[in-house]
Order: sequence, then C-alpha cells, then structure tokens
Amino acid sequence: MRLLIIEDEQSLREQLKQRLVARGYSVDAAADGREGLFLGSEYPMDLAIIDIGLPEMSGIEVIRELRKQQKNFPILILTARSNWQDKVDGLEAGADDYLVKPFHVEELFARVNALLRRSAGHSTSVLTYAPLSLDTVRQEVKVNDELIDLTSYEYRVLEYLMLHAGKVISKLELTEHIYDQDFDRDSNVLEVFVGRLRKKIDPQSTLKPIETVRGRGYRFSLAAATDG
Amino acid sequence: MGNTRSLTTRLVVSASVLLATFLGIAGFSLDALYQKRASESLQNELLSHVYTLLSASRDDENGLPVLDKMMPDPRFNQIDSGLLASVKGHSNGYSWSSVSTLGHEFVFNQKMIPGQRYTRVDDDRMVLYFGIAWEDYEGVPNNYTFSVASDLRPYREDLNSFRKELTLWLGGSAFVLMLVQALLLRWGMLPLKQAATDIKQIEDGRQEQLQSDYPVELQALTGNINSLIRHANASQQRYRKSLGDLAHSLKTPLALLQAAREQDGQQLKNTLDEQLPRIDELIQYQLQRAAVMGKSSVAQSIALLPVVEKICRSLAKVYHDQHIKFDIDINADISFRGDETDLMELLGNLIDNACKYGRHHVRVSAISTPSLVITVEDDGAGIKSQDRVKLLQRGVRADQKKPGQGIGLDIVNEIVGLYEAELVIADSSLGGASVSVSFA
Repeated sequence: MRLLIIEDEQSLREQLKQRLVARGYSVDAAADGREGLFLGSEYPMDLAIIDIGLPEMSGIEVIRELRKQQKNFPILILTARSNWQDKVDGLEAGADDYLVKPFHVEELFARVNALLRRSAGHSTSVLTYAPLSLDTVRQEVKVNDELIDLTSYEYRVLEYLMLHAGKVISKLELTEHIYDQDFDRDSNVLEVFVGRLRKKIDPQSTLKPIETVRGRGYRFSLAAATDG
Repeated sequence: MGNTRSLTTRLVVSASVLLATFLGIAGFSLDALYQKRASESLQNELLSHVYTLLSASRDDENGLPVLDKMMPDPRFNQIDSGLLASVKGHSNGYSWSSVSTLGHEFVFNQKMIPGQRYTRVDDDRMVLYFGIAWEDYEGVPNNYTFSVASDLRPYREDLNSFRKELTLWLGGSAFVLMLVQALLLRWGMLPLKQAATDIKQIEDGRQEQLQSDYPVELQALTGNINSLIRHANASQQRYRKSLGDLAHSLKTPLALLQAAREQDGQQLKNTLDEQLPRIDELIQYQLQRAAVMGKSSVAQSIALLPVVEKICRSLAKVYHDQHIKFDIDINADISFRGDETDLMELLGNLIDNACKYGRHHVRVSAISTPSLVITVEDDGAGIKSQDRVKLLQRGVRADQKKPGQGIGLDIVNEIVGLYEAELVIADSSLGGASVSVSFA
C-alpha cells in the first residue's frame, strides 16, 4: 500500500514515515501543500495523511483539489485543534476521518488500516478466502489456521491482491502501490515475490490463489468464504 | 474638520449651503423688488409732472394750450435741475421746452397717439411721453405730445445705497446665523462627544461602561456597546481564569513527570502513558473552555438545520463502519441565536457522543416554542441515573477527573452554562440516552 504524508513538522513527518515504512507501507512524504498535491496528483496513492495547518496551501485546499481531480483514495486529516469547526471543515472538504494531535501511532495505524479496508470495500479487518485468511491489523496470513511466515514485501503483495480480489492487477499497478517513487520498475523482483508467495501459501499447488493473467497481470481468484 | 467623513463637516457644509442659497435668493428678490418699486414711483412722478404741465397751460385765442416760459415747479426753470419737459403740437407745430433743457440735447421726437403713454430709459434719463388731444373752440381735436424727463442719477445713487445696506444686513444676519448654527451644532453633537470621551475613559480603564444619560437615538447604540464591553470583559475573564486553571492543573502531572526522571524502564513508560494524555486533555479542555464565546445581545441568528446536517454528514464518514442511520427532525426555519463556533462545539460533541455510545441509530431533533430545545438521542445502552447527576455537574475541574474520560461533555456543560441553558438527560424511545439542551 502506498501512502502519502503531508506534514510540515519535520520531526513528526520523519517519525511517521519511519513507523509506517516499518509497518510495511511504501510512503511518500511532503513538507508543504504544493508538493503534497503534486505527489497526490501524479502517483497512484492508496491513502493520504494530511495535516490541516500547512503553510502556503492549507490542508483543506489540498483535499479539495485532490477531490476535484477525482482522486478517490481515503484521506485522514491531522489537526492540532480539536474544535469541531476544523474537523467538520476537513471532512466536508472530502476527508474521511480525522485524528487530533497529539495521538498514539497505534491509533494512526488503526485508522489507516480501517480506511484502507473501507476503500477496498471490506468492512472487517480479517479478509477470509478459505482456507486463506489475512489479518490487516496484525499483518498475519494463515492457511488452515496455520501462520505463514512472510516477508514484508510478500505480505504487501498478497494484501493488495486480496483487497482487490477478483480484479486483474497489472504489474505496473502492483509495483506502484507496493514501492515508493524511487523503485526501479524494470526489475523482475515482482515475479520473484509472487513466485515465493505461491510456494509459501500453496506449497502443493492445489489452491492456485494467485492467477497469472497473460500479458495483463495477476488476479487473486479464491472465492470469499465470509467477508464481513 | 478636514473631510466629509466628519459629521460636523457635513452638517456645517449643508447648513452653510442652505444659508447661502436662502440669503442669495432673499438678496436678489429684495433688490428686484426695490428696483421695480423705485422705477414705478419715478414713472408716477413723471406722470404727475405731465399733469402739472397740463394744469399750468392756458388757452390761446383758438382755445389751444400755451405754456409760459416759467413754470410753477422751479426745477423746470433751473438749468441742470435734472427735470426736463417739452410739449409738441403735431398739427400746428407748437413747440415748448422748459428752461432746464437748455444745453441738453434732449430729443422729443416721439409722436404719441392721444391717450397713449410710453416710458423709455435713455442712458441716464427716464422719459415719459404722453399723447393728448386738445379740442379748440371749434371742436377740432389737436394732437399734442407732452414729454417729461428725469435724471436717473439720484435714483441710481439711491439704489446703490440700498444695495450697500442690504448687503450689510444680509451679511450681518448670515454671520449671526452661522454663529447660532455653530452653537446649535455643538449642542446637538454633545452626546456623541460625550460618548467618545466615555469610550476614551473606558480605554484608559477609568470606567467600565458608557454611563451618561444618552438621547433616545443613541441609546440603542450605547446599549449595544455596553453589552459588547460586558461580553468582552466576560470573555477576557474566562480566558484569564482558564489560563490560571490550566497553569494550576498542569502542576500535578508535571511534578509527577519530574519525579519520574528517577524511574526507569517500564515504570517510566507507565508514568508517561498516564500523564501525557492527562496533560493533553487539560490543555484541550481549558483552551476550548476559554474559546466559548457565550451569549451576547448582538449575536446573530444561525439556521440550525444546515449545521446539524454538516455535522451528521461528517460523522457518518467517521463512523462509517458503524452504519449509523441519522434521523434529523428539524424545521428549516429554526435558528439559534449565538456564536456559530459554540453551536458547532455543542452539537459536535453531543452527536459524536451519541455515535460513540449508540449502535446504529442517532436522532437529532429541535423545537422552538419559541425557546429552542435541541435533543440528541441514540440507541445505545443509555446513561444510568446515578451517572446523570455526575455528568451534569458543572465546574468539576478536569484535573480531578480520571484521564480518558473525554472532555466532550465538559465543553457542552460549559457552553450550556454560558448560554444560561439547561441540560437534561433522559431515556430515549430509541432505547439509549436522550440529551436535551433547553435555551432560555
């Protein structure tokens, strides 16, 4: 999942980026509204975390502009002021949730996770496609209730495919949502990850959960058992 | 006085224009009237001289008029007297001129039809021509023209001195009127000046309100200024009190943190986890409490429905996963008198609580009978009656609460108090709590 952070406070921005990257997200960070708007308009983001009180171009303006450009990824606003006027203004401009500073990073993770699930159309944090289940909060994958040990990148690939189950996801899209802008797109690292993933979750190759659609990309093709 | 933004300038300019116009018209018409009357009286005088000439004439052998060299009015007999006369007979060639015409080129070439009169102004003379028919003894009418001229110089001197006097009088009255006007203006503007002085006194801190007895027209304004001042004072005091409370209440957690420097590891983390949210809540609570504007007599009316809709739309996003159904039962014409931010805080906290503690159903309703009652209901577990009293208690300091309780209802209580409203907690027909705010 690729996240955008627009926050002018450098230490908070760096800290958030670090924590979110450690959690397996690819993160683009901007220090002001203009740069943030550029990143949000030019790159396929899955979610944006925007501070309302930005210099030059306010967070509210960035949100309005992004929504005007039909960017529909969820937006979480950060506000230093806890009054309702600010919260309502941000939400009316197009944000989906708010967090008042100061906050616990765990709280931020929970909101981000909920918004990502919500935007993919899932209402619970555990995606279950029997016998496979993926817990987006714990970032755990189980097959037949047995924990599978995945690397962070493998988990990200699987999570993205499962959140968009049934849809064909091109390699380009997958790359863009898994890595930030500095990634070398020409490498075949992705094929390697998918190959290892298949081996780990389906060693006997009986389920075939990840389908290769020739020339177009990959598709997660197990039927949902219970979703929500 | 300077510019037209000054009331005094405006009044002085308009009164002066009015005065100038009035005096101008008066002077002009008085002058015209005087000229008319003077010229009329001169004409009458000339006519009376004609009659004098007629009565001084005697009949000759044919019964036709003949005038003597010397006339009863000495002015006719004196050279340069300014009064000239001449008589001409049209048929018999009779011609007579008074002695006073000697040396003057006085042309009496006008032939008048009997009964006709004609006045002409020549340079500095006014001439009256008068035509008459005189019957001789045989009853044949003979036409004569009697002409009398008078020097206009004395008349013009009169007019000039009249004008001088007129200017003097009008100028004098203009001066007096301006003086009176200035005095009246000072008197009329006195209350405004007093208000300015009063406000200056307030600025200097020597008094707190506009005290003087103001005229009716100003009372609405001064009353509002007074209530604004009261309002500003109250806000300021609230700020001061909040800051005082904040400083005071931060001491305890800060002292605990200071003491925690000695602790290590898990113990330190526990203290931080306990005290940091507490500090955050204290700051939020006190600052928000201070920011409440409160009731003011100059508050505007805010339509309630759009604000409620905005908050519900926003909260529907925040509580997306809860699939909350919002029922809004508010007439479009119901409005709230007060500050919009206060209303937003009040409703935001109440509706947010309803979403937090309710399950899937939140109802916001309002009636205005005519005092406004806003009710927020949910379908949650409700509030136990022993807890209700505690929730309604005002002035419970936030530093005496356990952390994590949230400050939403405290702010609601603060706003309710400042608007002299009443908070009522009851059971809702939805199954959960019903919280009503009744404004006085």
